[in-house]
Amino acid sequence: MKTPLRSIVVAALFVAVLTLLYQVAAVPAASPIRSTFAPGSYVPGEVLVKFKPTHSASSRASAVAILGHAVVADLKLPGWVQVKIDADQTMDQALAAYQGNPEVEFVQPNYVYRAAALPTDAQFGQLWAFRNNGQTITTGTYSPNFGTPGADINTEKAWDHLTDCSSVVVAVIDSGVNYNQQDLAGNMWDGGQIYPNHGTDFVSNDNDPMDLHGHGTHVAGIVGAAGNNATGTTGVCWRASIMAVRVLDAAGSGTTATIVQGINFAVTNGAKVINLSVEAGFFDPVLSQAIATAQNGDVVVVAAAGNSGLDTDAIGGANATYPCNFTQPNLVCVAALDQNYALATFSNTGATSVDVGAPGTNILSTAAGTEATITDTFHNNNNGVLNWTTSGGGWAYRKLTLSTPAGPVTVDALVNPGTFPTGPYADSANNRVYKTFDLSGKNVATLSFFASVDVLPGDSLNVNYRSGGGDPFAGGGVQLIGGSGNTGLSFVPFSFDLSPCINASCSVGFQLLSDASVTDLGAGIVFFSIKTLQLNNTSYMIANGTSMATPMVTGLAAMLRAYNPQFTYADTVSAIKNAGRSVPALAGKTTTGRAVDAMSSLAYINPPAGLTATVQ
Amino acid sequence: MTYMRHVGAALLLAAGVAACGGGGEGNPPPKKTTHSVTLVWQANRESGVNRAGGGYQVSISGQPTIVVPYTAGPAAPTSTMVSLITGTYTVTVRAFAVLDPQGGNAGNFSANSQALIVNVP
Repeated sequence: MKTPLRSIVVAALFVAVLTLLYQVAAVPAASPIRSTFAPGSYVPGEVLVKFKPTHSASSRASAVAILGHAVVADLKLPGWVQVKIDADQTMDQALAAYQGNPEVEFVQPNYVYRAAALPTDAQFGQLWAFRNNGQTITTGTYSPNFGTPGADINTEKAWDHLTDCSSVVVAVIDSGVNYNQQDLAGNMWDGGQIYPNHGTDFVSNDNDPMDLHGHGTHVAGIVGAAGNNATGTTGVCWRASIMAVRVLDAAGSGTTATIVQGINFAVTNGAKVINLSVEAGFFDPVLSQAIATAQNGDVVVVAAAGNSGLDTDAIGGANATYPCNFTQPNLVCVAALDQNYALATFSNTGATSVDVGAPGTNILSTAAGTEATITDTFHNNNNGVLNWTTSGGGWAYRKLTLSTPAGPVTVDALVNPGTFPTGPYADSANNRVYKTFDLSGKNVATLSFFASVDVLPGDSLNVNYRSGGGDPFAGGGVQLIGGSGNTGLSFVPFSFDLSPCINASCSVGFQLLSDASVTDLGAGIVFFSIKTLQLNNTSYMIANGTSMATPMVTGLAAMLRAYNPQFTYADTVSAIKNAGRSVPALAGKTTTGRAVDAMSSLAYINPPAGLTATVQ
Repeated sequence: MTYMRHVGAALLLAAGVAACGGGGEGNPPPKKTTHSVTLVWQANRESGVNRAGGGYQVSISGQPTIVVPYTAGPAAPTSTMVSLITGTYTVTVRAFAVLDPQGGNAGNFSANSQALIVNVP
């Protein structure tokens, strides 16, 4: 009983709406036609026609036959018949044929109704950005990890109208994509024989954009992980065409040159939406030019606001973050919201430079593989004794208290001299310290640490590794960085690709070399870690960042361009910005004060332009 | 509707003529005449505007609203012709489609285009 009742109610509402519309529009009652025409929303080749009551069954059949159509069934509602249309006619043509018939009161497609269904993806329940019912994200790493029902991008309703964005090529310009991941493999761009790996790589300068970091694969899954396939997660688009463009290395770093080449590649090879989840704190005219080139190519560029928690419009420009502080009209800049649609604590904002918000915390998506992190505190069991191998003395373990925005924090540190930061380090020193790590079975390894350095010219702090273990400053060692410098007592981050050292014994070490002249404060190392990635095709992971909010909007841009094939970049950007949902947390902190809303954007209509009049 | 508008215009025109006939000495008031005015705008690119149930709505100050619906082909018409008597008119156009922001078929309008002032001599 449910389906017929629902159909009747829908039909009644439909007629009521039509009446209202046509009172406003002042169109004769015989004219109305309304349909959704979304692919799959109606039975192809059929329409339902309501003739005026004066028509008999035979005259209805005759009127239909004149058009080359045939009555399939009498619907047992006054005047209504189900009609099979000419096989060569489109639905639009068939409806128009009856619209012009004064004996017809109403005509519509034979709509298809389905039980309202969510995609079958196994972990859909954790995708709060698409359906926020207040659920707790069980593996969430951002607090809070529970949400407010309805605080989502409203894709469920949009999916009733469109799930397939594969007609629009989306370039993920990032660390690459694991194009073999089970939820991505079927949704990758077809690069033909020239780009058989679905994209290209400007880091290694080859055509294999395999993700050796993980960031790009996570981003790609938010845009277009295969939906409704009973596997893993889904993206904003259930079907997609994702172009993988690798511009960031295994440590997640890229350059102007790689990123600009990536943008130009995407534009040249047919991408209509670019996801750029990268940020930098300096004006880069070459990158600006590349985004302008994308504009000339009618390409939308969606960029991350940045994760520094800054107002990027602050007076003086000290907080300006690029590409978001560029002004090209094809650029959409995205801030991150949490599960309650509060601004994520890390998200940058900017009343003139950040446009919209989107979910960016506890976001579950595809992973390039299994990630693991080896941390080291330089000592065992809080015994205060350095447990790395030393040569030449100088290095020691000690606890340091750092000043942070959240207050003082005490951390484990590797220091030289042992009194660091009060110095001085020794003259004529060759102080080495190293440790061996097991990296067997990994595909990627990235070394990270923070360092405070005050080493005079003529002296040097060196960081080396050695595959096979042992002293990395002996034969066979490879230098990652070395030299003098002064960080002004601040600890600054360093990150290096350690992948060439992947085996059962990889030693990593620090060396302080000094000449016989005066010395300074020395060096301190904290937060030492080696992040590893073991590629596989079945992993998923949680991540936080404006990098995760950005592909929500990228996916929406692809959806809009797929639904409206004639859309320009300007139409797309307008529908994203103007149809969002007002969110108090974004008021005065973004250009729109809105979070994106997929359904509203899909229904958004730009105001007509270019109105002229000619008086005769 | 078109018929009604013409009748309305004819009545107004007749009233204008009657007023002229009742004038006294001096310059007669300007004669009101009817002109055809063609309004043209750029096509919207939303699919919903350019399929059955979509189209445009033209508003002219003091005149009945004109609906320019999609009928057939790749796009809804982007022009209409209207007869207007001497005067100054404000014209706007807005587009419409079936799909509403809640995902239903309640219909949805764009904002108005930029207003155009039309002087009919």
